[in-house]
Amino acid sequence: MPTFDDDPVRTEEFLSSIHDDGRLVEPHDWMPEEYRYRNLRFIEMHANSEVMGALPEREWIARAPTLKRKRSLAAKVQDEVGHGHLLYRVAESLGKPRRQMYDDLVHGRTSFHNVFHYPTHTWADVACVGFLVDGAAIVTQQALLETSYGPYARVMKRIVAEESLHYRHGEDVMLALAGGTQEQFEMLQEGVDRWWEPIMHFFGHDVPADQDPGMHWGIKPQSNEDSRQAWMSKYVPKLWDMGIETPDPALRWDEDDQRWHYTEPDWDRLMAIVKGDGTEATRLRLAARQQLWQHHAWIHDLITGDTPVAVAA
Amino acid sequence: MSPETTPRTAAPTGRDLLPDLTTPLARLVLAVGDDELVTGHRASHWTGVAPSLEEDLAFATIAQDEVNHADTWYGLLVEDAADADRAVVDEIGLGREPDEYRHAALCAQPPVDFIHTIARHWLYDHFDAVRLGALAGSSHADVAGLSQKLQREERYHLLHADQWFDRLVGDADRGRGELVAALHDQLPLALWLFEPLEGEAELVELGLLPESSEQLRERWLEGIVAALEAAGIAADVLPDDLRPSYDEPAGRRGVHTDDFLVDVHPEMTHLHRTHPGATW
Amino acid sequence: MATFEVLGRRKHSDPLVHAGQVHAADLDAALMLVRETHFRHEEGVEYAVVPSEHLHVLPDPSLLEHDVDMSYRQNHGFTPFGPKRERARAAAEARGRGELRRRPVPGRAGGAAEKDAR
Repeated sequence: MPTFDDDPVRTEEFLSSIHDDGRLVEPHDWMPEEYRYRNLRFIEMHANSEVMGALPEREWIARAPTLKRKRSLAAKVQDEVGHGHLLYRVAESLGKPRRQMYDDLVHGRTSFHNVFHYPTHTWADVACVGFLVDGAAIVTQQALLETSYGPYARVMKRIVAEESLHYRHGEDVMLALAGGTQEQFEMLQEGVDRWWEPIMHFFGHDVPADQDPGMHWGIKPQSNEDSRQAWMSKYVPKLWDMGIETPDPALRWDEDDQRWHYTEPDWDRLMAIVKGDGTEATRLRLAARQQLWQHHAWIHDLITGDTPVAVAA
Repeated sequence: MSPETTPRTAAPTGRDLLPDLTTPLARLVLAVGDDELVTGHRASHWTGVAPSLEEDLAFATIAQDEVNHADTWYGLLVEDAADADRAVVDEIGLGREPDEYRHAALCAQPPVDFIHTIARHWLYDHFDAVRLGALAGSSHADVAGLSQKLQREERYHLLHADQWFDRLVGDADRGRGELVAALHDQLPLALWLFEPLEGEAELVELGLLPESSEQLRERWLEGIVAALEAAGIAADVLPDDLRPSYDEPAGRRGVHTDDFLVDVHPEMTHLHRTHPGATW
Repeated sequence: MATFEVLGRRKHSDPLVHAGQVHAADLDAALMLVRETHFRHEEGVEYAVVPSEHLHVLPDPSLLEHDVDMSYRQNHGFTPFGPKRERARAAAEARGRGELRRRPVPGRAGGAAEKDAR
């Protein structure tokens, strides 16, 4: 994390205008360098996550069990690419070229959300990623509608609207398995057992609001714990309704507390993935993306106009 | 009663769902539909990993369209109520044995790289335009109607393919050379898009297929040779023999390469086939 | 004289939307005049102008029409969820997993099953 030399008085006024007046910050506005830096990193990570999120799911387009699912899964992955497209443009408005962001991603210099580090083993993973993991993203994205950076807030409106389609798609795939054959049901249960911890990790560990830089700078208005609780309130009843057990034996809704009690996930394991070597799946995916990028960068430049095209003879 | 002890209803599953695949209509539909399905299957490889985000979005729709079109073609062989339709269409698309598919080998070629895919699509989309143009005059009303609809859909595919062709041809640094190499590689195989269908004479006589594969090939060649000559790359790309004899049976007669047998067919059909009767 | 296309943003949460055109000698004139041609009654928080010759409309808008069923990409492309949820619930009971939906959840101390009892 670099150090910043922002004028403290101006910064204080800036923060006040965001939090107290609900003002949206636009690209040409004065902003503290720390605000610019943190927003760029946050939005870049969001964009990276959409692009990397496409990878586990796209492996199943080829293997989809019906023609309709083959199309609808492809459409969903397409939308994720679309979200990446929108978000990179927002990040670009804060001063970093898209091409550079993509290059940093494939070379492992920037990060993306933990959940997209995991492999997909069965069709049930399509259900889990499409319903539960996407559900986690939807919870945080709903909160981001109130983010302070204007271009980000506007793009989130569009993304949230498209996510409602993904939510339905995810639930549809899930219900077909839960209500299907015993093999399908067991496939689904096994998937949920594997995805539980990554989803708990997704929200980050509980950081008090006043110690959360994301909240201090008006980037994300909801605490990690509130997001996790919101997800559990929405999705745990749905899982139980389908007869799918949640793998945490301590998980329960406390009517008096008005909150979910659960086993604290292993945060060291998350840190190892995020800061360290990632998972095997990540290494393979990044290596594949790197190779493709090296091979196709000239095509990228040809179609985007990043380098001049030779005139036809 | 648990789901697996519930007595099986009379509804058929698996291969029992397949309609008669030997009728003239089926023979035509499978050739057209399978080309689209296998092309769409290979094209969807690029969803999420295409060279640019914008191109990824455009090509992803093109891939989905191919699968959608295949689905609609197979639908011509089905007559029942909605739910039963889906089960039969899926069985046709994902439930047949490899030698029951009727696509041409070009469609099953692995992606290799994006330029190879673009070259293949340029060759294939122009073929599809010629074929749909002929089928729009089919004696079978459903075939004619669907072909007319799909001709309109395919305009975007042609726009995309032709634009890429021009852009690559115009890129002296690299694009031109790579396109030439990819077209040169794939043109001989593209000629087998025109291998005659099984019992084609009957299909032509019935007016189901208004023009023979040979006639379609001549029209296709007219168009692409003109484009290649205008681009100044015809000599580098065209093989000596543009009119193979088609003695050796290939895709149109159910004889497929390892690309399909070892790669596409298992990948595409395994999950569907290992759970007969399951809904997804 | 030239024409310029006008793009405006009504509220901060809105995207930039096409609002009309102006005639103006140049970019500076356009930027100055648009405030009164397009924003004197309606609120606006931002606007932009682009020379009309730089606005290129798709020559064939029928490209946007689809002749095959694209509902798989739309919300209405899904058949109703009620029966699907019912099927999953019934299957859960049959598998001996019916207990799960009787656990307490937010808003329903008796679990999801409480809804059925009412």
